[in-house]
Amino acid sequence: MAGVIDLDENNFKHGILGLVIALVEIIRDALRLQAFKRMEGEDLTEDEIERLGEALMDLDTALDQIKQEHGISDTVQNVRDGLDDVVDEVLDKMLNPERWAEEYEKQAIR
Amino acid sequence: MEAQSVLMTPTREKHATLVDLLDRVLEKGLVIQADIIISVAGIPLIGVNLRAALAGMETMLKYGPMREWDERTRQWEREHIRKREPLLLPEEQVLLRMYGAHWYSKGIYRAWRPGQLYLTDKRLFIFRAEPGEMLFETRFEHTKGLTVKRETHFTGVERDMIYLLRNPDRLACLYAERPGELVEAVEERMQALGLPLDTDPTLPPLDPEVDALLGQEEITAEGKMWHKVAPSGIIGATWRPGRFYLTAERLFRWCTEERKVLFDIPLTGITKATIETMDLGGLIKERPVLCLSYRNSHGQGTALRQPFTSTGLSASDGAQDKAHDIALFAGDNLAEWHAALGRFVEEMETCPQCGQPASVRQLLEEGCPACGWISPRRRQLQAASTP
Repeated sequence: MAGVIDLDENNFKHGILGLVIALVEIIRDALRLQAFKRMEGEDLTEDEIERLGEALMDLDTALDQIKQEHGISDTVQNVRDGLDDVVDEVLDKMLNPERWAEEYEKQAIR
Repeated sequence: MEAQSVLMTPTREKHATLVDLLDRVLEKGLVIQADIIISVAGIPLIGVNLRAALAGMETMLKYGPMREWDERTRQWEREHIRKREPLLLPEEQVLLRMYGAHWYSKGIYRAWRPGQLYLTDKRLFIFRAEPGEMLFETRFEHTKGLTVKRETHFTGVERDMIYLLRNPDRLACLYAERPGELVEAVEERMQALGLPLDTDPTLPPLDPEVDALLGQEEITAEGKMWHKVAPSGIIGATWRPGRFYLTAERLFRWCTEERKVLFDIPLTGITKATIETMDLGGLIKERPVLCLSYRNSHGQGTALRQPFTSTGLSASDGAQDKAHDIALFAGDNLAEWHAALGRFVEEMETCPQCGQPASVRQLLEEGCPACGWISPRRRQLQAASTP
């Protein structure tokens, strides 16, 4: 490959840290949705709900802090958008009948 | 009716995200059952019988498994809940609460320890909930001074550090999410309690070593460079970023996080400073690297001489003896560093007669200090001047 990969320490940090934080954020979002489901269920006591909410809010603060400190908010957003696009593309291919027709036509041409 | 049939057309939500996907998987649940045999040459050697179920807890409970476990976990949590929250003194009231951290330094362990910073009507403390521990605590009676300093982190980001001076002269370094608000609230509280607070205290050094270093010498240049650190223990040689300082006498690296000098060489010992292009391995191919060769104090080179020879520099180079070490630097401002350090270089050569290292200037102008060899050119000049 003739491309040059320019790795200076800043974009290296942005890349790795951005990726890690993006993954943590995705897990956090999934956990938060599950937390809402549990809160809507009958099991948890008032006290537990409050504790759960507080812990999730602390996590939000800590993540925002890290993003702000290292100036990686944009990088994290880009990584997340990229991953979402991949998921969207794959799901669209699997679920959308119009896409099936397109794929079929492509194969038929060959 | 025409319009209504249009409204009833099924649509698919566009732009699914990864979180949506995860949520759907967790809500529905995922079950994997697999039997695997790994064989070599048709002979089964390893068998794997895999059963896995992944689901959100609400779904898991709906279908039965783990209900008892869920109960027990929450039961245990309820019983041990006391430890999760800081124990307040009788009649103590929390005035302010925010994210914060305390710079902890004891023995070889030095690190930022994050937690929740509480300001009450009696004291200031940082409490970490998981696992529960009081990270830092001071009562207002023992607080002498408080100041905020804007410092540059080695990544180049500026942030406000809070220095708190306690009785007797002990300095604590804190980080708070909203430093201004905290300082204001502390000042207000101290005033209400009728206690004196120094808002611009003279800070004792966090590490006496720096003060000694900087007290006598003036810094002529400073900047960030990557430095190849010699292997130690099981860790191989690695490139690490650091802040380097040049004074009239030495070049050293000060590590803010560890509060100590990690690399320190006297300028009189520098025998060579060149910029070479090196293959740094991995994805970083050819990069300019500043090679600094210097006389070491212990008379033995370290393993870092290895990559230097591999770049094709001849072994007869003056630096290739046991009394010299080579430090490698990379970064953006190499040319400036090269110019700054090059002024101190005394070029070394080995005496062609006895093979002892000596500076080029000395060899050419005075002769070898070890065996008395004099260059032919010098001899000619001497012969010409004394007929």
